[in-house]
Amino acid sequence: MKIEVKNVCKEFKQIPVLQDVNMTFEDGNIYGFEGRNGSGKSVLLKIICGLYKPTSGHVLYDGKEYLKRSEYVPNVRALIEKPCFFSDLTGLENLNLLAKIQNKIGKKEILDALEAVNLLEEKDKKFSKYSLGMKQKLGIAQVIMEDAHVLILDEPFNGVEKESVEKIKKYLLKEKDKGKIILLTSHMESDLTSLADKIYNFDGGRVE
Amino acid sequence: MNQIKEFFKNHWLIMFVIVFLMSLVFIFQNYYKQFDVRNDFYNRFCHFFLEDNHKDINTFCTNILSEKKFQKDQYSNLMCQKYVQEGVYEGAEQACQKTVAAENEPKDDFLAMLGEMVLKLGGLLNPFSFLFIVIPTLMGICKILRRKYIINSNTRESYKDFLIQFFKKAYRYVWVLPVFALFMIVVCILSTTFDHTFSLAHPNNILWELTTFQNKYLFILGYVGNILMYSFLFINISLMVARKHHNTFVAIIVSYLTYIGIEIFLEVVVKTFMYVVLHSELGEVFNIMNLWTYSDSWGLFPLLTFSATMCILSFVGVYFAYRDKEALVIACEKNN
Repeated sequence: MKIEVKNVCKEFKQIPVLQDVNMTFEDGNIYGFEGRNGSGKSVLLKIICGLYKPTSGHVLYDGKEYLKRSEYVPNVRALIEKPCFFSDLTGLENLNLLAKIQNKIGKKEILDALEAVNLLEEKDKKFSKYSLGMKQKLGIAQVIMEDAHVLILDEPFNGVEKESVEKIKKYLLKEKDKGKIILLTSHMESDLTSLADKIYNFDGGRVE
Repeated sequence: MNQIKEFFKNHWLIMFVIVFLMSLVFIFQNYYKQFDVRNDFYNRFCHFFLEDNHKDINTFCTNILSEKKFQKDQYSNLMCQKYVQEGVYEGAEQACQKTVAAENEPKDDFLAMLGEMVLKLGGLLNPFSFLFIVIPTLMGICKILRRKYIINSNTRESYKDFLIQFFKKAYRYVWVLPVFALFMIVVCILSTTFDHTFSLAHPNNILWELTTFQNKYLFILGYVGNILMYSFLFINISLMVARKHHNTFVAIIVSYLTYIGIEIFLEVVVKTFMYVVLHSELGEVFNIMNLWTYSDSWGLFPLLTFSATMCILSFVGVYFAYRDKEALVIACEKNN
């Protein structure tokens, strides 16, 4: 798969947030985004996963443009900013609910995803009782559980303990070897340098 | 305490049905008690009026109200007060002749009983029906919006499919009020007859013109259909409010205030405009709180046209509120 971001601009109430962004993402690579808060990293990720539409420009997935027709982009999973789940459901129930939308996976794959993020023991706890790190891990689990081709992770390691971070990093490197595209942002430079094949620097909505 | 809260949250509908059924039973019993006393009073009055040449209403009222049966009856006391202060109404002789002629006809007819139920329950149902379905609706949809479920579902299904599931959840309770209406109707059908001879003789007994009831099936269909249209209207108002307010409690309050606001606008602005500018009293039809009364003062066509128009307009409002996915995503992000 190839994702092409061509001359993408994004404005909110006439305030530019992204300006003429051009990028290409190819199979078997991890791409890192770094930059200050408010530099446009999350906005670009939201455009790529279909949450936002670009004000101008195009995002092509193997030459196809989904966003203009408000279709969902297939085979992409994303964790953007804070993880969003139902507080009164357990971690496992939340993942079950999401898995039922496409019905592609069963309980085994969900449990494997929880195991990969070191959350198996807490799977039956209500989401409201989760710590920040556990919530992040559940967010990562929902991204990896359905074996999507494109994984988008916005600040995934916030609040996650070192042991789990290392485990998840190893998992991501394995996924990269399978030919997946992984887009990653982090405030920790070490996370990006240890994982990313290419790092894009965002500054004021522009990319270097 | 939490277990009680959870039980009520999951079974509020059943509890409401039980309370409603108990109210119906109470009203049904009360109806028979009051109905008999009322009819007895009116029959006695008519006999007195037609037979007593002096028509000494004071003596009649003193005598009848000294009887235990009528002493505490609100209707009897009110009518006597009215007759003594204002005199007997014009046309009483003609009405009383009909009453005496129909004295032995079956008293329990469908329209009288349904009207009685609507009158007795109207004080509760008319202003609060909105909350009966909007509260559980908002409990469901505000949870989805507050938890930003759309962000996770966005990469798994199209926005259209998300909305289909979302609206399915929203319209889950649209059947509640029409089923209550049907239940009332079924109770009346089982307890009474469609012989309205007695009601014809006591026009004050019934809420509707008998011409409205020419076809009983159409009447029932119209009555239940009208309630259904209002149910959709109420849920649509709550959907539009929830689009902006994702906190359940706030959404309930704002929805109810919006509902009252619309009613005030219709009653004050629209009605006044129609009366002053168009010299029409048709503005009486413009009322979204009188759904249970099903007022046919202006005929059923304007009434049902109004309900249908409000229903359709509310669907248009919902369409505009939810058509933009990005705007909804941003609203979800802002609300948390």
